[in-house]
Amino acid sequence: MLAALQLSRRFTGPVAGVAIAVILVILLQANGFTSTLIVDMLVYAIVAMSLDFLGGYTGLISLGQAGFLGVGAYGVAIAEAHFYPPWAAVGVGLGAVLVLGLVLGVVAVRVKGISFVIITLAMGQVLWGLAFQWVGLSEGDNGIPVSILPSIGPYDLNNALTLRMTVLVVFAVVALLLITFTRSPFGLSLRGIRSNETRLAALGYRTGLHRYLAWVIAVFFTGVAGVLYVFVNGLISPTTMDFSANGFFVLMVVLGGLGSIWGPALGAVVIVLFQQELSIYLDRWQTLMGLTLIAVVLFSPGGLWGALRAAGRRRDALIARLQETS
Amino acid sequence: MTAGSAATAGSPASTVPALAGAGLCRRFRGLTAVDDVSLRVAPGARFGIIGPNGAGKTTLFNLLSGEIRPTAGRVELFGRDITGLPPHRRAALGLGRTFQITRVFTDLTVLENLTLAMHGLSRSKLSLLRPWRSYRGMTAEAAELAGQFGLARRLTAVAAELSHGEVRELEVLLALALKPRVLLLDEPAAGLSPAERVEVQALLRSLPAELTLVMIEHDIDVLRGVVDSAAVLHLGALVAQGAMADIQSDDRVRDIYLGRAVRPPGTAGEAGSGP
Ligand SMILES: Nc1ncnc2c1ncn2[C@@H]1O[C@H](COP(=O)(O)OP(=O)(O)OP(=O)(O)O)[C@@H](O)[C@H]1O
Ligand SMILES: [Mg+2]
Repeated sequence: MLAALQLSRRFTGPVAGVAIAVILVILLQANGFTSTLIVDMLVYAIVAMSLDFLGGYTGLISLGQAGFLGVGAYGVAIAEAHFYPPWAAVGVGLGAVLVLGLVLGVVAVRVKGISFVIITLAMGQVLWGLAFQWVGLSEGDNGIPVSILPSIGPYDLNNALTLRMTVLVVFAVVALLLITFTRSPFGLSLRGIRSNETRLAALGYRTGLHRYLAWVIAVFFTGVAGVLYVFVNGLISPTTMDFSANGFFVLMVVLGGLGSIWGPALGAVVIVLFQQELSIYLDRWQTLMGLTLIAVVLFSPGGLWGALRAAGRRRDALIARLQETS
Repeated sequence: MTAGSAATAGSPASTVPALAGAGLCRRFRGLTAVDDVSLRVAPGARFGIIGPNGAGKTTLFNLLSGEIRPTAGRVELFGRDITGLPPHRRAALGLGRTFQITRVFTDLTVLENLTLAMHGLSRSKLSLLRPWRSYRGMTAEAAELAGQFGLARRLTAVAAELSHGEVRELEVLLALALKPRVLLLDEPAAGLSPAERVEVQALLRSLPAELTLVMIEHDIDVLRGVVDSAAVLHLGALVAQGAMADIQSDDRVRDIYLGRAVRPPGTAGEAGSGP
């Protein structure tokens, strides 16, 4: 019993990680509803994890993240519409979102708490408004299609399987980078900012710079998700970045668990399931989603990930008790 | 003993003071919390600041450490004008402080708290790719620092779980982690048990002699063991300054501050000094 528990403590994480990776690779082989669903989940999970890096660690909840998803996607689409080659279009999309992140960051780091929420909300709405009304550039309501995807040698994103695997790899890279960041001294400083910024400044930290960098990282990775989004969907239109899209991203993070990176990825999985799967069978899927969210917030303030962690702690406590008795 | 708004602690005024304030004023709307305070603290001095509740002691510290800007006046650190510098720059120049209302990182563990402080003055605080736990030198130093108080066995405890006394100790250790040249302590012993006070006193006495210490304290007994001279702040102004023994025997000081202790309870509150 004790040995089994100890094995579980050592191996649950790695085994679950490998198992999920293997399952994803297998499921993504076939064209069809399931693989489309998974790819959507992975793209949204990148946004949710970026949002968590900013919200869960630094304490800055952004309600405008969908806007930056849109900037990445529109950047690619508009560049292709102007006959840029596909790889150059990717460069335009990522460059646009990076520059925008660097510029808007100057404004965003001036505020905290609810003011930050409102400012990012305003940014998101302005970006949405531009997509909707700057018809000359964005085609307005209709959106812009993207039909030619980048390729180099045998690596061709126009091949559906290659595209799906690329999404999986990018998701994994972003997740591992964000996890690495959170474990670094910089990541520790972000948690310090959320906990007590005045104290951190008194310890020699230029806290505004740290918040700025966290912002730029989160915005850039969201833009990366935007590029993938437009490749996967073949179209970007204003609805992708509207107010409810922003709300859903925050829901993913809260449902999954703030400050855990993997949790919000899990949150994205659940929310996409509700949106795309359950909505087929159930008209009142939004009611059910609302009730689920209430239940999670009530019974596990740390979200779904918090519940998993709590189970792990109970196991560790049991191990400690068994070790004492033996 | 000198009275008036200028105060000098330690060695002669000709040497460059470790920390100096000149004509410091801070007004909050109608209220003048700090009123034309000038003081010079010599390198290595152990300097106390006393005064009743609301005298402006914490506000004076906030002016010195840069948390708030003065309405008028200058702050100098080792002769360098730091009036316009933000707190993190002052910290980098060797000015450390603790807070009266404890400001530790409550959702971080003791080890994380101290490691964060350790990285404060190093370029590594912006490192993204290397885990903070792999900075063995820093974490070892953090653990050693924790050992200066009884926190060595509490390294993995989240700061929110610590007792009040332990939190106050952590507060002091965070400031010490930067190895400051000038340390401002705002009532480090507030709310501590007598035993814990002795522990804090012992730690403060064991600090390196070249460290300049400025300490706000309500409890004269705690102060007596640690500082050699002190200044009295009343209604924002510096009213007396000198050796501890002189301060205690000064009539005006008795009236405005120490005297309160012999008044019947209920006339003046000694409470409210804790967080
Ligand atoms: N941010 C602020 N805004 C307005 N008034 C303030 C502010 N900070 C302090 N004050 C006022 O300034 C005066 C001095 O406060 P301060 O905290 O400096 O006193 P103190 O000597 O530290 O008192 P205590 O012994 O209670 O800690 C008080 O009347 C206080 O109400
Ligand atoms: Mg005070």
